[in-house]
Amino acid sequence: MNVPIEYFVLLSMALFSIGLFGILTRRNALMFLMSVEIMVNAANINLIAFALYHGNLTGQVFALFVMALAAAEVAIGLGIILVLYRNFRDVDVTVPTTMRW
Amino acid sequence: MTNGPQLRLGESLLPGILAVALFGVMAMIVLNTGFADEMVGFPEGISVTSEIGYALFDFTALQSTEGSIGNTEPFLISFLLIAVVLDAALDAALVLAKRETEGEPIAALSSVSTGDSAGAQPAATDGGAENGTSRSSGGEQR
Amino acid sequence: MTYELIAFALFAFVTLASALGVVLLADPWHSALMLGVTLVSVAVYYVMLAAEFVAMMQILVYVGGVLILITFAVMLTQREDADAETETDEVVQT
Repeated sequence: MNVPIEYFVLLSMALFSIGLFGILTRRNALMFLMSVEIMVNAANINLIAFALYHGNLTGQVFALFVMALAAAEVAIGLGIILVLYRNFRDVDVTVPTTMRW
Repeated sequence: MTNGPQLRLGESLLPGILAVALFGVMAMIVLNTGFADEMVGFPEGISVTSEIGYALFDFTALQSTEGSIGNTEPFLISFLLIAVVLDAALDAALVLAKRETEGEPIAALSSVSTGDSAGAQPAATDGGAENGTSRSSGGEQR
Repeated sequence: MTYELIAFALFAFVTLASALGVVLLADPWHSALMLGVTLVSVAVYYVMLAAEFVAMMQILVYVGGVLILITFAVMLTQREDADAETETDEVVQT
């Protein structure tokens, strides 16, 4: 392994910042899901890089769990988005204000 | 729909500055942290995939003991918890996809529009969308 | 030594550029395509980090499952308005 671990950590931080930027700027609910996927992938890169760094497989197993949870989260999120679209004819997150006190 | 991709810029200056500042802070923390130059790595001659499987199912007797790869924690309980969470996600997705009209649950994949229930509508084989014509003619289907 | 570093730099460029494309492109459909490029290029790092099984699970779960689901949602929630083609991210007051 010749690439130092700092580069992987910097890459995952850049990906996390890009995902955060996407969440802060977009108003489409689908873009929220995609940005969350980018952030989850950044966390996974960190986990696997440190798994190799420490020579321990816990990080890899944990990355598998994170991927399973991300799949579940996307299933729920898409269900909510489709219900949102059916009720409001839009996927903008600023339109549904029914539950605002 | 065949227009090219367009960038969406503007009115995102503050979140952009915030994201770049966050990246700067984290990069400073990383660059000031002294990591070891050499990664430990995995020992030669063992299969990483097999070791992942042994760790997932608590096969500690089969786990390799050389190096620090033998320190992998057993993960059977978390594996089962993730399985339960995935089942819950499947159920929740089905509940979300189900429509409720007049108190009757309508199947998610039925192709019958429930807005106007006039006339004979096709493809009600799932028993979800029964209309006035089939109900007034006996009602033995339900 | 340098070959792996060069490969890492190239794929880091691909990943960061496509991730920026996800958050900056106006059309959600283009964003979904860019997300696919990002997810596939992340799998390359997993191979570089001796995690072949996780790389394969990344391809199967993310590209084969999550990306397809997001593509479904993008196609199901496309509005047919003519003015919404270029500004699908704007607030439409109804």
